[in-house]
Amino acid sequence: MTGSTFRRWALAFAVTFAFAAWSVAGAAADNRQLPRSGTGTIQTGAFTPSGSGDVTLDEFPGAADNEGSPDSYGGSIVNRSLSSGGVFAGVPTTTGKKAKSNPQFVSGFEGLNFYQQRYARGGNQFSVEPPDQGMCAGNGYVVEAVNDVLNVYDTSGNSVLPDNTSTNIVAGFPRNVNHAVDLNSFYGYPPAINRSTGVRGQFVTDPTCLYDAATQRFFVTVLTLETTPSGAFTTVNHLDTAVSQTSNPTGSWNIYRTDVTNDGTNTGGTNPGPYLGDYPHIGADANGYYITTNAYPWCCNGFSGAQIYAYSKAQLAAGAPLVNMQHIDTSGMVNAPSDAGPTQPGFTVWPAQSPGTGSFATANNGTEYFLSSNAADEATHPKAGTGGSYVSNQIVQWTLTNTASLNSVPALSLSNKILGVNTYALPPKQQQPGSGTTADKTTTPGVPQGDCINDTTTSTIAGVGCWRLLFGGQPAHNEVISRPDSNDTRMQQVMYANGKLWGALDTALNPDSGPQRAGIAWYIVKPDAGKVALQGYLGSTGHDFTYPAIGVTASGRGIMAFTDTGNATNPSAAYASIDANAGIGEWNDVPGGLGAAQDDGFTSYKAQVGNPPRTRWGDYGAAAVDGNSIWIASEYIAQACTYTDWGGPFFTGGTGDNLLGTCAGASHGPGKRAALGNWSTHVSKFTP
Amino acid sequence: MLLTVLVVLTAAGSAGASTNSSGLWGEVKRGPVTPVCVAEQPCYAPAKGVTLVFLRSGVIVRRATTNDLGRYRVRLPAGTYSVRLPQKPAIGRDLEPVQARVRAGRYARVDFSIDTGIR
Repeated sequence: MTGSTFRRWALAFAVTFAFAAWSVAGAAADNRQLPRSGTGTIQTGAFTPSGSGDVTLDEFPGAADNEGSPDSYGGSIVNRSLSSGGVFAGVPTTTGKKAKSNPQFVSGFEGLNFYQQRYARGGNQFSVEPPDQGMCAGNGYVVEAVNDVLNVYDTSGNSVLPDNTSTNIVAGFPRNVNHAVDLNSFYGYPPAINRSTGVRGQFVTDPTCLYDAATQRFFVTVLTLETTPSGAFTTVNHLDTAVSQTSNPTGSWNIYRTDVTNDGTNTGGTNPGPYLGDYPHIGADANGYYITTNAYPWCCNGFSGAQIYAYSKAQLAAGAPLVNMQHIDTSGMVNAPSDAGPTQPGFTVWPAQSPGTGSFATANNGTEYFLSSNAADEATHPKAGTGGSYVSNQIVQWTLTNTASLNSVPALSLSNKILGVNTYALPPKQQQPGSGTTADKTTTPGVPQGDCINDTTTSTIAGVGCWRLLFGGQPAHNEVISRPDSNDTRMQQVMYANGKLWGALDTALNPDSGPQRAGIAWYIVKPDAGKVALQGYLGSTGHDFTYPAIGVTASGRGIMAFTDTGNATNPSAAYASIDANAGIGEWNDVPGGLGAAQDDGFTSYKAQVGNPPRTRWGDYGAAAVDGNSIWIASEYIAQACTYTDWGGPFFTGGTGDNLLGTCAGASHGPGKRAALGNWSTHVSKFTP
Repeated sequence: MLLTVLVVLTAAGSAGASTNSSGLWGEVKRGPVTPVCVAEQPCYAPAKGVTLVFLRSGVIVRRATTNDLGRYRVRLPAGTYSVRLPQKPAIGRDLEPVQARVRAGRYARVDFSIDTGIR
């Protein structure tokens, strides 16, 4: 054996050993061929206009539900480097290096909002929270999808869908929803609710979007829950993926459906199926399109592992009648202890997306990377579903190889490696101006729904007391300005760009050693080496940062989107630069994305959802790379609506819209909110 | 009706002499049970078979397990109790709320919730 041969053998042995050391065998996997289930276009389906004769005009439940969550981390994670630089701006991070990224704001616009969601398809929609931000961009288009409505814009923010205002009749008047189309229509389903009959359609949720520059196709995936006509869940649920037939998203789309009802593996004890394929998120490499879900048993607490669904991207893009797919269950794959034994399942194993056409990992016949975290009960207590510490100093890098096989006979190999990181932990809820203050129409005008529930003196068309407009029975009048939910510690959007993996998650932080707030932990990983290249926190005194989403160009210039809420800051769309030289850069609120009022959604109020309420927010943001630009999108509050305007003609002597709570004026729109909620989304373009 | 008051009580320590006329009752729910909350559909479900542990001064006083409707009822002497699930996390908390107050001569309603993680 020559010296060089020996070195090659030694190198091969070392590589093999290193790989085996962080591979975990035993993943449950199966191959299928997925049939194309139909085609569709982005246009509103058939409906009966909703109006005064509806059987479901009252969408305000009288029953009190209850909910809550584990409380935040009890310890302290100090982030001294990130002192507040003022009310709306932070300061750079520690290293002192000049950031590679110097983001320039290009443009921005308000995207989809509560009004458009509620009154699309003739008002045959529900009031829903949170929006769940899906957004992608390419070929001169921006596609946005939230619960449960969709729009397509040009790069100036103008909708390029047909104007459907004249036919969108709600309560006798055309409603301008900025051309938006409900997701039920897009996927070929009847309305979410037929307000003339009360019959429910499919329950569509968790939209997410990706533009793949390599195939020049848009992909929009949702989770669809089948229901009975009365709205009860059958437990059957499927991932619906729409793929544009061309690079123009306003044209036709092919639709593929993947049943996920029985794909979770019983991790033992108390967690039999069927399962909910929750929180689908998507990514792509050169060969595959990937959806990952969190499998929860319908019956009870517990968790049955993150599921990975890998598809041939080329076949999806071509609209093939049959598409190769391999499914992998991550249960038992992470070598860390849990209440199920010496291993953990993956949890929110977020697949990476890459910018452009040349950033994919091509080693090992094609490689797709994922990141996940493991502080949550889903990882540490998959059997009980509760009881964990909600703190960790580990994240997990997942590597899926041989992805080119998806185009022939799928034979994927999945491994993972635990990476040590700085401590992260369950964050506290957000604080917004006045959180905890009793809602009152004279002193807290920013939350008219809360003001209304508490009011007993306003003269209305239903009698004295605004609450009569919302409830049949008198509620307690003890509503307060809420604290919107922070995320738990699950991984958020993941990018593979410039040879690195980029990800972030929500964590508890103590900026400047002060009170604990919600903040962000971010990571830049070198996946080839299985090492964290750079990591850090982003937080600021008096502020809560939640739901980060990172976009990174092929050259490694990044922008992180997130929600900024604070003691004096209404929920706002914010951003910071990020790169592998200096880490996180200065943060700021997006121009035009500063919150105009507090969150006033129905999940904030005990009378609507029980005590204690969980004010839903998020559940995720979005960032999309479009050439050398990065689009970001986040939830925020776009409009301030006074109590008087909220009541309009429903208050004695009042004037305005004939729908309660829209603040849309006597012209019947367009509005930004409805009676039960006021979320909006803000879409922005940056040159990093 | 019988079901609504059916509780499983496990004495785990001295409950004191005044337990006959005071305590707590309520519901434990798990949620969200759907990824998005809808104004006209329940977002939470009864948490059946969940054991609540009531402690005073760090000592377990009683446990109560919810019935099929997620309801519990437990006799307790007047006082302030910390409440947790049987597996107490090392850091952080696992239930909301985590404290409950019992007044002498009364049964107070306190509802609890558990996060499913569904989003």
